[in-house]
Amino acid sequence: MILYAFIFIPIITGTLIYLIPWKGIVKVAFGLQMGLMALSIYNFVYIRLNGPIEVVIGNFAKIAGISLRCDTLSATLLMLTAFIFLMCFLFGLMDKFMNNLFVFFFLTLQALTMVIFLSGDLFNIYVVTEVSTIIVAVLIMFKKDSRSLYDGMLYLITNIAAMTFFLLGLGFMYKIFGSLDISIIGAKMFDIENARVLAMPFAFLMTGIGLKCAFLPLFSWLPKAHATPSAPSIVSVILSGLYVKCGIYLFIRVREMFLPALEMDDIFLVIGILTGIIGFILAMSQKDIKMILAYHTISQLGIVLIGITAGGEYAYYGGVLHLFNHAVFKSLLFLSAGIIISKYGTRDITKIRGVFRRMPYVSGMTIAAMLGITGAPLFNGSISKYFIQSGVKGGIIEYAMILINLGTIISFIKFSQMFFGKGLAERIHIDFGKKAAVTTMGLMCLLMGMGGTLVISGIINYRVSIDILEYIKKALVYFVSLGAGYLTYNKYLKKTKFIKEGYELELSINGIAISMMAFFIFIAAAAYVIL
Amino acid sequence: MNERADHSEILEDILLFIYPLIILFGIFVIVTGVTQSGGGFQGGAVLVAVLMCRYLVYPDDMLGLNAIKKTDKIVLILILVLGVGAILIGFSNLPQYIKNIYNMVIGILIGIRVSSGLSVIFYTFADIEGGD
Amino acid sequence: MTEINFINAQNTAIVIFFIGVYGLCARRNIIKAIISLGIMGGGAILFFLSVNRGPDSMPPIFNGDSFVMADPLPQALVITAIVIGVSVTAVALIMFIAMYHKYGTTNWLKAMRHRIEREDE
Repeated sequence: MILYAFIFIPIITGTLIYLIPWKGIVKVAFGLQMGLMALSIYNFVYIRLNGPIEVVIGNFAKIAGISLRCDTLSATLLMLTAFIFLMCFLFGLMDKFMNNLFVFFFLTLQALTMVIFLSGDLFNIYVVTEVSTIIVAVLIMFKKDSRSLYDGMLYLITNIAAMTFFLLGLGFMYKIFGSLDISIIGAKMFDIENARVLAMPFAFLMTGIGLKCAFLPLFSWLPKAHATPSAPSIVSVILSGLYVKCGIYLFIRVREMFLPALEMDDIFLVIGILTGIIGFILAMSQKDIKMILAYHTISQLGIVLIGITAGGEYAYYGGVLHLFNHAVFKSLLFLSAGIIISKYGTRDITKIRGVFRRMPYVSGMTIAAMLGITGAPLFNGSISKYFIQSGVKGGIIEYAMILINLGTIISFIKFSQMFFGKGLAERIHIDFGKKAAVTTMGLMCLLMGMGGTLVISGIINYRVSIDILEYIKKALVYFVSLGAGYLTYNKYLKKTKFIKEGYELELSINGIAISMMAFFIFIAAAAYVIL
Repeated sequence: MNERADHSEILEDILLFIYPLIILFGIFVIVTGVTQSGGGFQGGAVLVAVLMCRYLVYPDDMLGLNAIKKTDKIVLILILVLGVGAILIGFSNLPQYIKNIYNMVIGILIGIRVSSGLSVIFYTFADIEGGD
Repeated sequence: MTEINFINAQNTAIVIFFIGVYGLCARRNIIKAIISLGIMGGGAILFFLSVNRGPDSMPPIFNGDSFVMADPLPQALVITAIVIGVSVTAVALIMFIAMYHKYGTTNWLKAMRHRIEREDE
């Protein structure tokens, strides 16, 4: 019964807000978010104590009805959704653009994201993802600026094309298995004798999911959509902090479903490493604040993918923990970038200077987020990276992780240039809502870092412990990389044309479609070869 | 003479004859969607055809756009309330005839919603193209 | 003459789908991209409808006689997919009209160039 509340309360409240002209709507929505946060914490505790719940809407048989299934992973992601939306509403408490239509879209997006995390049926996921793609595209072009129209259109067409691949894959799965329920297919997967028949649906499904998760050849839509110039910054926060998590969640579920018969972890590991590397290379050469953060999202998603597919319990849970950490600090970075952009009026990182003097509070919290994302000790990024690295001891993967860390540090050194310097010297006043949101998230970074083992033990009921010696070794590696990155950047890279001019990987829709076909053929061929 | 040119009398007469049949067919598809194929979506799409016929005859007159928008919003609330209410009550324990009535009511509401939604879309496009 | 077994609904659906993907890959007009999305959707829908359906299946309307009935579950799923296709087409067309007024072109590459030029506004 609780699961229904998560879905229906935001939608009904949003519809009523849209249809009835109220005055204090944002405060009502904010109160609603507090209620949802409390409900999601209660739900998580309940599932942790009693095991997963499963409900079929309308009490039909599971094979033909829409089922909702909530286990610990879903419950934690629900808590994350409620938390990030709460922060967004706190941030925008006194903003002008939150009129009825915007709040309606936002609350509906929240309900749809919760349905994606809760649903146990693949077709349900397809329908809800398509509707949320339409809503996100409308939110991107909410201010009808000429640049955001192009970005919204690109986002809409590429994501709908990917979902149509997914739909065709679902057709194959229905033909083979007779049902589209995740747990039923997972159980029937053991009975497949001739696994070659699974190659085509796997390729179709993975092409659709791969575009939503921004894997290697398919990420060109992401920077434009997340860093669009005239969207309000909370839209970028929701997209980059929360909505890409749906893609990774789908990847986890579909991979788990196919695991008895077909396993392509090695290929995805390579894709993850390449994605991580290309992410930070392109991030280093951007001049726009939001573009750097958006390319970073690609890199961090590569790290999550490495964690999930590297094999072994530690790396898997490290990957999932990195998902949550990334949500927290990327949202914090986008929020503070939004504050900086609105106070400075420009988005160019070479022109912004002296933020530390003017807004010491916000810059303190931003530095906390940066320490988190690069994996400084005592912050949350280091815990998840530690777990991933301890699962892949030795070999190329560990060096790849260190390389990606180094690249992240370099690009954030470039990002942090805007803190120093003179600029104009007066203090800026920032309103209460924004400060509160930013503080809470900064504190979450710190707390999740210091209490990392408690968090994981709480989530997965698995007693993990951190080897102190290993941790100190990782901390030393971190400081060495910090020094090396600083030196490399200042002495060498600053002068290269690559960083000064900026380089963009611009693919039009034709390019994205060709890369989708190439990815599909590659995965299908690899599946045929393996089986 | 120019009026005759864009206001074709053959078209008007034929459409005057046909449109009650289209409305009847649409309502038939909606109402018998409970047991046969059809249902709310299909019937709603058929009902929009009447509005398009009228647009073909009189391109400059938008019939009752505000009323359609209001109907849209009211029916949306009704569908949400009925749908959520039915799920929360525990739908499958009710006797069969209530289920049939429920199906038909939801079908009719969905038909109204789809037809009003599609006609708003159609009027928006017609307005953009015609007003240019 | 031997029976041609490979022209059935499923292979046709896959061919239609890839024709849609080709249209998305190789044409520069925005309206053609939107049409290709519709074609891709049509291919996927045809695939869904043809599951579990032989040449002599009856539509699932009557109340059970001794003939083979087509599967009603994918037909319910497909109605949802069709409605989603219609709404996506409507939203994409409205966005295209707004974009045409701002950029004045229906060509992707020219629009991309304009977008890059206006980057520094």
